[in-house]
Amino acid sequence: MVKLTSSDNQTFEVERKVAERSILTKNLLEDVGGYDQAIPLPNVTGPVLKRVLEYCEHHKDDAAVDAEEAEDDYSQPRVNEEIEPWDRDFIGSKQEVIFELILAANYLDIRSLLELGCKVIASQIKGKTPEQIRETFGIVNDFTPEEEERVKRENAWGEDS
Amino acid sequence: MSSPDSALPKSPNGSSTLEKGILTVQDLPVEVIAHIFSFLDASSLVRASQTCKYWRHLMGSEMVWRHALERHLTRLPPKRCAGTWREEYLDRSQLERVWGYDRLGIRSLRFTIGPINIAYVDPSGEWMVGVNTTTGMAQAGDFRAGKVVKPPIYPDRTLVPRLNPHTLVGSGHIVWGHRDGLLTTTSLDQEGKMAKRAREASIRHHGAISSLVWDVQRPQWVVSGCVTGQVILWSLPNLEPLLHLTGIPQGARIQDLILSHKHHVLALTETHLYLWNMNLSTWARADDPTQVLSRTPTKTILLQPPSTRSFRAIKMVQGNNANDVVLLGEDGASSLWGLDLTTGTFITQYVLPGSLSLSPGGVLVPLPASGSLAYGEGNGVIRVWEMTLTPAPTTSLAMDLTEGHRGQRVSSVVGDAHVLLSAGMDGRICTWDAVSGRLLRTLKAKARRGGDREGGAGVDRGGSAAPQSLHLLPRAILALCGDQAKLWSFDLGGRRRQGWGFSTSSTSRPGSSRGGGLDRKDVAVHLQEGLDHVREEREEAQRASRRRMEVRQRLQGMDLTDLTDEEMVQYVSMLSMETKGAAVGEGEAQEEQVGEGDEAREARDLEFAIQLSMAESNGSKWEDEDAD
Repeated sequence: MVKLTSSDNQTFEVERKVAERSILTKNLLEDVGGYDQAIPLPNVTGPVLKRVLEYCEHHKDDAAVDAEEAEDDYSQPRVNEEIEPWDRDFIGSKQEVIFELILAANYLDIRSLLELGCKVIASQIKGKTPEQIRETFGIVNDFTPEEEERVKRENAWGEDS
Repeated sequence: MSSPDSALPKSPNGSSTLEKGILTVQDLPVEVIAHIFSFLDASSLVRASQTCKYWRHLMGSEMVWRHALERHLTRLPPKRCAGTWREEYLDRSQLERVWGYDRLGIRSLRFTIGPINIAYVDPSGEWMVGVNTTTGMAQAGDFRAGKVVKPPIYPDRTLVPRLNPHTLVGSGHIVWGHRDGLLTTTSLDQEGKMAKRAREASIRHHGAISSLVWDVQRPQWVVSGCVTGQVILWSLPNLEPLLHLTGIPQGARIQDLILSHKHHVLALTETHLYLWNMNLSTWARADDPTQVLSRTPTKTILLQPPSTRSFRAIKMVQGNNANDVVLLGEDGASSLWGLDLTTGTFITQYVLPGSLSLSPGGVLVPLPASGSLAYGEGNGVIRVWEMTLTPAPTTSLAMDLTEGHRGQRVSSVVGDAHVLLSAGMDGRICTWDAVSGRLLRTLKAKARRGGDREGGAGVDRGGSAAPQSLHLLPRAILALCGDQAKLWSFDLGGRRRQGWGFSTSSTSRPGSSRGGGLDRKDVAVHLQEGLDHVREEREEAQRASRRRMEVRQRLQGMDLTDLTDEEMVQYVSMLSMETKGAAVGEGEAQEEQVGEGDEAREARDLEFAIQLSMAESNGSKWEDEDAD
């Protein structure tokens, strides 16, 4: 078992292979060799870490992602639009939650979770007009009217319909 | 389990999410946002770049586009053909979507009149007419019902029929040219059903019809030529003779005819090329029912064949405004000649290796908008030449497409500026990216299993023949496979734009003198932003390049051009050892470009982007003109 400590000093104890879904902890564990001590993860809060570990627990038996192999395979579409039902339930649709998970996954280097989060956010961008995207993400339109006109013209390609 | 609301990490923007209350998308690190963008399709990316300055800035990064391209358009090795990765992605994604991934519904028809050589398909893809040129029989087929219309129609005579491939719905015809010089025609209605009786022309040629051609732009006219050198322009559907195109000495066989996009009629004999200039007023004036007017050629070009052989076939290559080039195929020889119509001089020769000449099947296709031509060979290779007309007409072999037909003869090639389709005797149809030469998709045209559902004759034949002739339609591909016609149609959900081009939307803006909208300065700034992002990548490449230069200097004593193949292999492997850790993936190919500095490349990129934006604004004008 491996102990992980969050930024707010909550300690979680998980199986090693659960912890090793995170490349960061995996490397730490390999470097350190032993793992009696709790590994401090100062960039992740307790509640977030708890959820991340929940994800790792569910995916602990997945095949390790071999990044290089995936890079070279051009025979298949590389964007896999489908999200497993469990993952979909897990990630939900609440933006702050997803952002937290993305940040944590980015820090902990959990590729599949990062992909999952990014994919879900991307799906919220897809097919929306710029104004709808702004609404969805609370983005402030900081273009001057002239700039906006220019940007629109320049990107006339996107105006499909 | 809910999201934590305290002790949140600091956002990269410096403002704590505590102060804002919630984490927003702008708090994500830039690489994560870029990662999110990489999941977006092209049009979503474009729209996302219109939301705010920060995102627009991010979209200025070529890396974002490159990653998105790599993620989505998987079959390509990440190679850039357009000016920027952005351009590349926008272009490719449309193309890939349509030709690579869109679902294709297949329908097939089995004709009862034997092998079909010529076909007309309604642009709706719902019905077609197939003609067996050996017997002259024609038959209509209904794709919705999956049946052919019986009985077939035939003109009682031996003939050289040619079916109008571009007839408008409701004004379709079949015209037959007979050995006794007579022309007959049958009209098609909107459902592709033919009139019961064929109509005969009021006058006839002096000899057997040797060539028939239609004007794509004006489907109501047909031009016929015969073995004695007589050329007549007819109107449809009544087959009224409108004009005698004279000037050809009697007895000179008309080898081939063309109606050019500029309303020139070109007639090829074995020794001469004749050109009649037909402006619109001429067409109109000729419409006199009592008398058939005649017209002498505007231009006669004596072909001085560089060889003793005579010319057999002619193809139009749509040049720029200054020059029009036609391609002449030699009779029985495997070479093609490019002829500049304006000057009447031969400009270039295409030697087509292999045994196929132009004559047997017209496997050669000039790709109209891209200024290139493709030729399918007997060994399964499709060669594509690129043609430049300014400043001087030149051609160069652009690419060889080798992997498509597994060494089997290519029977048909069609294409436009974006996509190339080829059919091979291996029973496959390949769709290619006309720019990069990438194989987008293969379709199986030949049924493997014996005995199709249709039963009857089909069972004995054991499936269908290899595709012999391809037609590229707005939403479908038609392949003629023996007595079967197969139609693959796209389901584009009714959202297909006009044409494949992307500058169409800019033409819809009236009064926009600047066309594409970006001026040089904008492009420069925009590109600079992008370049900043990829600088790191460039520096890495630079280091690798420097390492190579060092190796090269060490090997300076050796003259590389004198190396044997074996020595070259050694040399390259030595190089790749030296540059271990750098991008060695492209090995020998990159070798040649070692000398080119990254500054030069950057400058070139910039220039290219500027050209592109200029081209975009010019492009819209050009399209307007072309639409007339």
